[in-house]
Amino acid sequence: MSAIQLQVQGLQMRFGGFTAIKRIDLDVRAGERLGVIGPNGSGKSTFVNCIAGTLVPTAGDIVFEGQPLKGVPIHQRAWRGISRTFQLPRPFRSMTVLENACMPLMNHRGGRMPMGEVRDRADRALERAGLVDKAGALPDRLTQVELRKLELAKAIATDPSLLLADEVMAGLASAEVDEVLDLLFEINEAGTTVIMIEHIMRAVTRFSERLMVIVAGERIGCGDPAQVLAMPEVERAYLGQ
Amino acid sequence: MKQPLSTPRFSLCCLVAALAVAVVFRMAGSEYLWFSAYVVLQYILLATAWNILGGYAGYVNFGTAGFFGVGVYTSVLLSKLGVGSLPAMILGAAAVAGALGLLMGYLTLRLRGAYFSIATLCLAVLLQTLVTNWDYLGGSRGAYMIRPQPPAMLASPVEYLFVAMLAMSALAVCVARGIERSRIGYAFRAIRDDEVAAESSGVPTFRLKLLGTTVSGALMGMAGAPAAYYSTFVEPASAFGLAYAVNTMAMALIGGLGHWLGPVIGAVVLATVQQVAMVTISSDFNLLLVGLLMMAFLIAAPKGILGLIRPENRP
Amino acid sequence: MDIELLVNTLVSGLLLGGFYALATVGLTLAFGVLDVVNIAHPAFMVLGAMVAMLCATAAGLDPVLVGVLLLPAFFALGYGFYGVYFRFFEKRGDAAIQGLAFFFAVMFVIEVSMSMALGPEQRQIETPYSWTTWQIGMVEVPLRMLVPFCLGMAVLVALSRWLRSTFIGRTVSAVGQDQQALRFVGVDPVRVKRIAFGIAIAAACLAGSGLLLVQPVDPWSGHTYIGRVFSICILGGLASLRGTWLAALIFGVLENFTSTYVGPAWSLAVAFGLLLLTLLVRPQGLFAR
Repeated sequence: MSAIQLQVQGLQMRFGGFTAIKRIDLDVRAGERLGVIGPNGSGKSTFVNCIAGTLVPTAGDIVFEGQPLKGVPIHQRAWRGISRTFQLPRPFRSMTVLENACMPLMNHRGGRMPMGEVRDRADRALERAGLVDKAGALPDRLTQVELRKLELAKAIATDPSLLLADEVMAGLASAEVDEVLDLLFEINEAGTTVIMIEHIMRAVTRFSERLMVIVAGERIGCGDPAQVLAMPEVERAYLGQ
Repeated sequence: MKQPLSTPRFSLCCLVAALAVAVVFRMAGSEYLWFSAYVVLQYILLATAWNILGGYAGYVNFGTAGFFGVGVYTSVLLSKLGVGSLPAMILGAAAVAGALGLLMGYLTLRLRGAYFSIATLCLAVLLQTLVTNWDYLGGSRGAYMIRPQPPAMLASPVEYLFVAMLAMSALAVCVARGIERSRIGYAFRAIRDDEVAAESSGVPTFRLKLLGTTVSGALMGMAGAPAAYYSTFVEPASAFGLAYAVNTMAMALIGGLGHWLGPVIGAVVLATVQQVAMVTISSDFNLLLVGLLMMAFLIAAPKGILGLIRPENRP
Repeated sequence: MDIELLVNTLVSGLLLGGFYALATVGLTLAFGVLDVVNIAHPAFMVLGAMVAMLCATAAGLDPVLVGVLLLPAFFALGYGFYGVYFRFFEKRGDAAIQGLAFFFAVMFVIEVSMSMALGPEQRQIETPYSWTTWQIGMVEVPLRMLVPFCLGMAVLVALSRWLRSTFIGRTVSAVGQDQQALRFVGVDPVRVKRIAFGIAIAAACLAGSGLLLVQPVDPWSGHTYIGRVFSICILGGLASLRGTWLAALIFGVLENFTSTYVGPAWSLAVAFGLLLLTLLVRPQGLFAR
């Protein structure tokens, strides 16, 4: 059994009068494949944003590899090994695909990586993502699935310990979903913990070792995917919508 | 494919070019030419400095006049304190304006870009008020400056100022190009393209933006340092004049953002046009022309003259 | 401690604040609701002032009346203007730098044009009540300040009502938040935004006629107002009319106190200093929910 990598304790996120996350507690093991599902607006993206640092929780603690993340700026979380993708892909539009992949490496941990190594690792990331033949293209020339792969390539370029994949497969065709899923499996096999937020049930059930369900800002179940999906509360949450 | 010049080589070329210009102008020996060229060079410096933060990183500084004015008045202050040497004034201006850029950046760069821009304008007005009320520096009555004697090789004070400005603008262009081609330049582009994504990719955006405001501010201050000697009479209304902000921005925009050559082209074109217009038409019309040109380019040619010459997206 | 001076400084500060609210309300719409950083807003106000002055002097009418008569013209100006802005900047996506720069250029063009057409001198207008001051106990209420204050209050109340009660008003309130929803109801968001911006510029025009009463106006007078109106707008929480009103009053009082007790040259520094402070400490404003 591998060590606990990420600890979320008593997480709460309020926006003025609106509570997006009431309370979430979670332990994630290194190398795990955790799926997160829940109805729209339940707080899944908020959860990811709190771990990534885009949002500052109103209460609770997040500890990553033994170090608390409170007050740690977003870019430093990236340096510590937490990578994320965005729901709507956010490539750097004025740069080529290769340059996009180089960006995380050029600034990693203060930006002292020699350019030769930057290029090599960026190439490797593109290779893993299957984007080598698009290396010189600008993002506006990429298809949707290629843009998602670019998001992932950027995220894995620095060989992160934890990847937060926020609805990477949303809106993709079935075959494309499988392409991205294979990539995520490969990323996990290479040693990266993956937390996957997703709506596409077959992808999530296939991918996850553990499944967490968030409804109305609270965790209502976490464990074996089949068991969790069979819980009456989960059924109610989805069908009762 | 042609390999672009490395920064040291480019700097050498710049130096050689600057020397060549200085020699050519010296052979012409015309006070008027030095005097007019000074203005063009000053705007190359200002526009290049503005472009570092505005064109590269996407943060629009409306307060160019503030930094320029601070440079002017640092010179006045040093002069009143008995320091008359131009190099000392330039260094002093760079230090003060750079510190100002750092401070302002620290205060406002955590906010949206639009708030930063508004804050820069407010800062310029604040500084102007401060200086206007500072009697030691002459206040609203103004201050007189006597031009320094030039060092041995140069013919006159005006040539001295011209050469100083030539050197500084060459320096600015080298610095800008150096930044543009470095990791910092790439990081700036990422910030401009999508700051949130940049931060998530590990770009320390705040730190780098601070670098941008500091370097940009320092260069703008340097542009103001010799201005006191150039005009021999300074008063806050003109030192902090809005014309500086508009001209600088217009030149960078018209020339082309995001590339070191853009502000140079924009400054040369626009400043020359203005010098001609000022002689033939009123100075107000001059300003109107700049404003209208800026609007026209923003609407019709947002990538500037450079964008028209090279239609592809990137430098 | 001179109580009379204190009270009068407070009162004149409040009156000034009321005018400032009038000057800001257009920006609250443009910046707060439409997210357009209209740095040229004070320039439009000065334009309104100059046009009102010319018409009022020529026709022998009261400037505020003229301001009201000019409302449709300025509404049309704003309506058309936003159309241009939207076509070339909003739609393009990477609008940020270009949009900001555009309004900066617009501001400049307006000011220089006025300077060329009318000369750089300061103008003011005299009305029958320009020099009248009501005395209520120890309080002095100059009418030339009271009129803009009342105008400000009237405009804010009317606008607030309109935004809440009429269909078009509610679409304007909503367009900042949910354009898709508007489309479902069959309303064109762009047209709504144009209406909103038209109102913003019309408000600037009315503020201009108020400005004529408050102080002498030259083509460049707008600059000192940039910091003021943005401060008040941000302090007030951006999109809130009530916030704008309260922030404006606070602002007017603070500025006036500084002017009276420290010195008029420093009151401007208060304006901009307060803005910087707000941005630093509480960028969502004092009254945000």
